[in-house]
Amino acid sequence: MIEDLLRTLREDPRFAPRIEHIEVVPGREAVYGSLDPPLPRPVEAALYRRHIRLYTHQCHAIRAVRAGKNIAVTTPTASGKTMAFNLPVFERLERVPGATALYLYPTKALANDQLGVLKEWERLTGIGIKPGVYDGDTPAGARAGIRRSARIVVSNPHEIHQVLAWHYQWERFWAGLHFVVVDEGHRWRGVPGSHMACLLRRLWRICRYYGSSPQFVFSTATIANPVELAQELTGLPFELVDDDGAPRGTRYFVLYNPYFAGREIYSTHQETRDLFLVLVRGGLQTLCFTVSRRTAELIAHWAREAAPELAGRVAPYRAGYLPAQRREIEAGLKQGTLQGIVATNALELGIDVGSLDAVLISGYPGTMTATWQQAGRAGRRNASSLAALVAFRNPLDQYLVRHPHLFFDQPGERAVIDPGNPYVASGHLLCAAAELPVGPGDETLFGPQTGDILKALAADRLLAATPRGWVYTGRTRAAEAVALDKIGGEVFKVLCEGRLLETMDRSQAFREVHRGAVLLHQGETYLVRALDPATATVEVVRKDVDYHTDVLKVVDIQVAGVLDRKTENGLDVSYGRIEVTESYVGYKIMKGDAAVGREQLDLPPLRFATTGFWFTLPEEAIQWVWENRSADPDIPGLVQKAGSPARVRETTFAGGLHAIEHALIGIMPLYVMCDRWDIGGVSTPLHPDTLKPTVFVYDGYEGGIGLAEKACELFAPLVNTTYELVRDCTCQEGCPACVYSPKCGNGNVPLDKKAARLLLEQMATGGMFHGSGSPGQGLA
Amino acid sequence: MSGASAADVLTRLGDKWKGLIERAADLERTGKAEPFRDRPRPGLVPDGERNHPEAGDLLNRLLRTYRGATLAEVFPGREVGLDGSTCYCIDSTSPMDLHMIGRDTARERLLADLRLLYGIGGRTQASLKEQGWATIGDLLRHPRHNGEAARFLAILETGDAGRLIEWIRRWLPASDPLAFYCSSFHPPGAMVVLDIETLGLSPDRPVILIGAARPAGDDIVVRQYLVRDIGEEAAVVKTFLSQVHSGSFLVTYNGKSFDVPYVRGRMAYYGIRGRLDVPHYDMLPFARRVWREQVADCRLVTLEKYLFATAREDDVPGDLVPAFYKTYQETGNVGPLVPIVAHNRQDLVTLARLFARLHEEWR
Repeated sequence: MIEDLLRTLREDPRFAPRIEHIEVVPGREAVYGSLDPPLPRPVEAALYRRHIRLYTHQCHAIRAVRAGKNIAVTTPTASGKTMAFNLPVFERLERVPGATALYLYPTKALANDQLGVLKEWERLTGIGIKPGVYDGDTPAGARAGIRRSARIVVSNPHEIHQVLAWHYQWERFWAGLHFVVVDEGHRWRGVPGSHMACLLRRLWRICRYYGSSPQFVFSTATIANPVELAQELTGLPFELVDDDGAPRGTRYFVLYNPYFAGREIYSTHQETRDLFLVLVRGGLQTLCFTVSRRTAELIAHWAREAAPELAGRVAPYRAGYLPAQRREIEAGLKQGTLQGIVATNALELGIDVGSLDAVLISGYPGTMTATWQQAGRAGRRNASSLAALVAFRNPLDQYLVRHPHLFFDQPGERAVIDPGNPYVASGHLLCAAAELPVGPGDETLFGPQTGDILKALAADRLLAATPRGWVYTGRTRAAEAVALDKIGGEVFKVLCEGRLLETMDRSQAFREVHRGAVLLHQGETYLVRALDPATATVEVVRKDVDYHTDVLKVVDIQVAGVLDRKTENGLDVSYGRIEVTESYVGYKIMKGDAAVGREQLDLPPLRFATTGFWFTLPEEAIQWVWENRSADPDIPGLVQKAGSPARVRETTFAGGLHAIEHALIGIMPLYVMCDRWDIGGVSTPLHPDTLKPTVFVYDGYEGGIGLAEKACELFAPLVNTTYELVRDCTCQEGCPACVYSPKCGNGNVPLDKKAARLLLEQMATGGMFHGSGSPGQGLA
Repeated sequence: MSGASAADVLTRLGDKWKGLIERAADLERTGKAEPFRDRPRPGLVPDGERNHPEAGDLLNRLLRTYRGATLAEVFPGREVGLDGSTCYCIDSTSPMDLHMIGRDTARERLLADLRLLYGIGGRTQASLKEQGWATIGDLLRHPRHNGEAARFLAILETGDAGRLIEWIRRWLPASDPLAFYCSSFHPPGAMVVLDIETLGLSPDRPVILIGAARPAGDDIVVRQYLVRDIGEEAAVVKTFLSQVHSGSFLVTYNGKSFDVPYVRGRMAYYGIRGRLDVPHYDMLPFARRVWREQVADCRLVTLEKYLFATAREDDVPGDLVPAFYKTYQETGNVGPLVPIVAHNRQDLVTLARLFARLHEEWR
């Protein structure tokens, strides 16, 4: 079926020219393993009744766990990964009375899914594991019972963070803890990963106190360094389980480029919709991932409009839907009544819907890890399957689809964490001291600075030094003051005649359901009557309209306070407090892809305060870049397009600054032990606070987390390495390895690599932007 | 200058956490059996200072009055030691008139309530009594209830108040007088009145004072174990525990929800083993049952005024105790401790009196 469809696509002039590349991954038979000794009888019997034979990687996992090892499992989603760790856990719980296990998920939805799986296995095997979900939604009456008798507790890091201080109510559970399972492990990188690492160390102390030393199971999507990440997160050694034995049909991966001709013929959404319909009409059960929630609604809406015969069989899926709605859609997919789903990455989070015939990824999701995870949703055991990436116009997307060899060579990003970051560690040390006294044995627990951090906290009377160790003496609960992530806002409720439609956070609410906006929900249109920030409620009415709205946003960055200033290589560099403000000033009324009107909005700005560093260039730099750049062969073409040399002079300079910002942020993880998604940046040829060309780099976490601070200290080597990167990169116009950023809010425009190279050379050598820059290398 | 030094970073961090901790929400005492909801109430900020403006004046007065005074001068007491660690015990005595309801009377009352048996509710009891089954003893001859009756009588014979309370709690609420009558099965000398002062509402923060009072003849002897610095907390907990024996019974006010779980929490924090699972008479539910209609609220201070005409001077409200203690820690001036110790002592004395009073009330 897939092969026929591909042939049709390749012959159809509407689609054929857009196909840049089709990668074929041959299918393979299952490779089974064997276990000696076999699993306990009730488990073997259950597997037999379900016609399940174990694959190599599942047996490998079971053997390693039996041998007392910690394992990192990286086989793809549909490979029976969950069973690979559930089976050895069940076996242990059956053999050792009193043994317990903790499963950690990043979201409540996933935790509840896993509970369902565990209950099903309990029923099938008859092994008493009494699983329970313990999180913010667990009713008060059920909590004591779970603490007293559950053998598998499914929870999330936020809950554990709160619950560790009550460890004596969990004595039985901690004392018998044999396993900690961390699923969706690839999420724990950058700053969130650093928090998780500290949390796991606190958990380890509690276990040590009650005499247990659990084994860890780390289950993750494809990243470049799974074992290293697992080891950094826990401080323990891990064995890798990646010998996937699950069977697969042939897999086709299509790189699809609507901009093959260098110009836009149809909009990206139309292209996605058309390709989506071809797949669905071709009889393939298809899942389409989009980069934004409203795009998911739009595409589903247009798909149903263009193909009314599919009305009941295509549905959108958003994270903000209520649980009942989400369950319905997932069931529809499983049963086959839904033929096509358009979703955001909410489904990427592993909710068990089985595999599908085809996956369409509209726009590069930002990381290769996410790309492989989304594509991995397509894959039948005994039939072919198809994944397609539709490139946006963005230079990054374009680069990826035009360089298939580079694309298919990338396994996934390298995950980096820094548990010793004092901004992160200090909070967790307070919590640890509230759980058990922090003694001399814990001095290196959170990195080499632990001792200094403890003394600093004691100086503020948050800790007291006692013969038994450091004791927490703050006036309120430590776990309350220490937040694990940057989400602090309230949840906005979208109500239609008093009925709750969906929920969303503050910034999404301002973007999508401001007064006058058209909300798409489950394929129906609603008009927003009012949005009240004070009560966090949005009132909508059901109305059929033929237009939709796009909000206009203005982002400002301001210096709120300078903490440090210096001159390096002749540049003024500052570090201090920054305020990023998003103002939603109005919205466009859109019919299809054309704007037919505009309205104003009166919403309070969203402010985000953090810390960052910035540097300025002298005004002469603008002219200097132009003088060194205007003779380049690509300039006349640019002038013709832009209309005047003055405009080109502006955009090449702005593009140069912007490219430097991206490259700096790309290099920062080399110096600062963070993830590039932890950092934000802004560049401008003229900033109101500095009155000069300025580049800002700041921490993406409220209040700042020490990343830009460290980068600022290492400014000189950072600039040097950035210069070398841009100078030595063999690409002509720019590429993901040097100046393209996967999270650029402006779609990677304007970017000018040549200008960046000129500027960086001056910056690295302390040049004064006089005279001529070095000749370019082979710029033709 | 090159950049922020590591020391600057740490100082800034300390200040940041201090600010966040001051602003964070604390738990709410629920007064119910589930000790500490482990979900915080949003918006509950410790704003004791705002609620009690006169406290600032009191604090300054105390700092002035007690400047230069030593602890021993202000609080007569002694060092007490256990296993090599010491703490300070403040001793005092107070008269108390305790005449507990007679053991036999208590026994009669229990036997007269047929609802203590499985399957007998209010209506069934009424009809049984009409038929002439007056006591559980009578039911030993009843074809249906004789089994349960025998089981109950066996426990009653042992005089084990703990097991009796457990039995009663299966069928009757915590405020039922029958649970209170069980206290008569103990010798009065086994009573330990308990009240604690802490740095917070949940046991992830230290206790600073454990007050225990026990009868001695016509008096009640009050021993208050003070945490002079946090390093003594473990010693305070241990020394208090050494006062609780297997035959002891506890008397508290809201102790089921707060004091006992809190001490248990600190025991777990330091790895201290001890027993607190002795019979426990929490006076709050009983007091509510008897005096709820006659007082504005059932706070101990309110009842104290109503029943014993006691007025407290310069009292420090509960939510200010942490702030006063912190001032003591920071200045070394023992003045702020004075109202804390006095408040705790008065609580203990009133509680003992309340216990005695209830025996009068339900004689």
